[in-house]
Amino acid sequence: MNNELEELEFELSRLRPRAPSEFLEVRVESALENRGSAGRAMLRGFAAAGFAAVVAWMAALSPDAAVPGGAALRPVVAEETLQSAQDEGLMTLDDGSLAQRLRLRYVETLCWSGGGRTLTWTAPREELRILPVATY
Amino acid sequence: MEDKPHHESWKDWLRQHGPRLLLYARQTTRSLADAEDVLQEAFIRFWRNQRDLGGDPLGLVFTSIRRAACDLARRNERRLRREESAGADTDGLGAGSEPHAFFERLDEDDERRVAIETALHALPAEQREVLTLKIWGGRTFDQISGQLGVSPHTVASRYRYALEGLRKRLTTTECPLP
Repeated sequence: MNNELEELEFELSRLRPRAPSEFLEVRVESALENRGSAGRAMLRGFAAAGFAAVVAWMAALSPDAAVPGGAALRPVVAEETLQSAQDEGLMTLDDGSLAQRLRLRYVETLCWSGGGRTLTWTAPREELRILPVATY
Repeated sequence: MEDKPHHESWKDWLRQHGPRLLLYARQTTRSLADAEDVLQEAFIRFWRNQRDLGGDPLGLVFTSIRRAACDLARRNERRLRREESAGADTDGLGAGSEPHAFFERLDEDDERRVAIETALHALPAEQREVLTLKIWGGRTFDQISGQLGVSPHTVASRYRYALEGLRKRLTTTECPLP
């Protein structure tokens, strides 16, 4: 490599990439801390959906899953419905700025159909959003 | 690092490597907000499931970022098709001065930094990706080769083309014809 390119290489190496925002750290912390509760929520969801839903979930492992009787199932619906949005108020981030904390609860539904049969899988999903608050 | 409390060790790790990981994520996404989403997803996957695997942790996260960026691009494409008429702004982190900058401002000659970023944007994506991984990601040609699934020779060529492309664009920028 010639000197000119080596100089450019050196100049580039001196540039420091910008750090991620404070929000990223908050979001990661929230995600890591909520791991246990999210898992428990999923288990409660499975229990509520019942045995039929669990069978349907197993069928979801294959896009064209076969069921007893030989008919192939194809996915026909994939949607999520917002059940509630709870404003948990303001919080202060490490850098002193304000953020709003929102807890959103969804129900996800997947549906397969084929050969006159329909299988539905539903599960709750909880999402925590940290939104920057602009002050003027 | 493992001797420290859990919450501190992941923060230390993220603070140490976050800038270079974010820079790489920005080469593979359309906006800063998307890049942070991708970085978050990749980091959490790494921290929960992969950090005890040994080997090359940074390489795992770079690979996860690339995969998450591809998934996000596919989701965005579908969403944009649905929401085309809404004209929504996909970059939610627009506050503050120069929110799209790749690098920290330079105390001296910040115009040069801006010129470099502009030239970087103009490079072909595959050259920019290699350059980013090599210079700011601290990866070797062999490591990049393994990550991208192309030969070390191809990686080295892309790197050299990237440097030459940058030099050409920067020279043109600094010496405009009358």
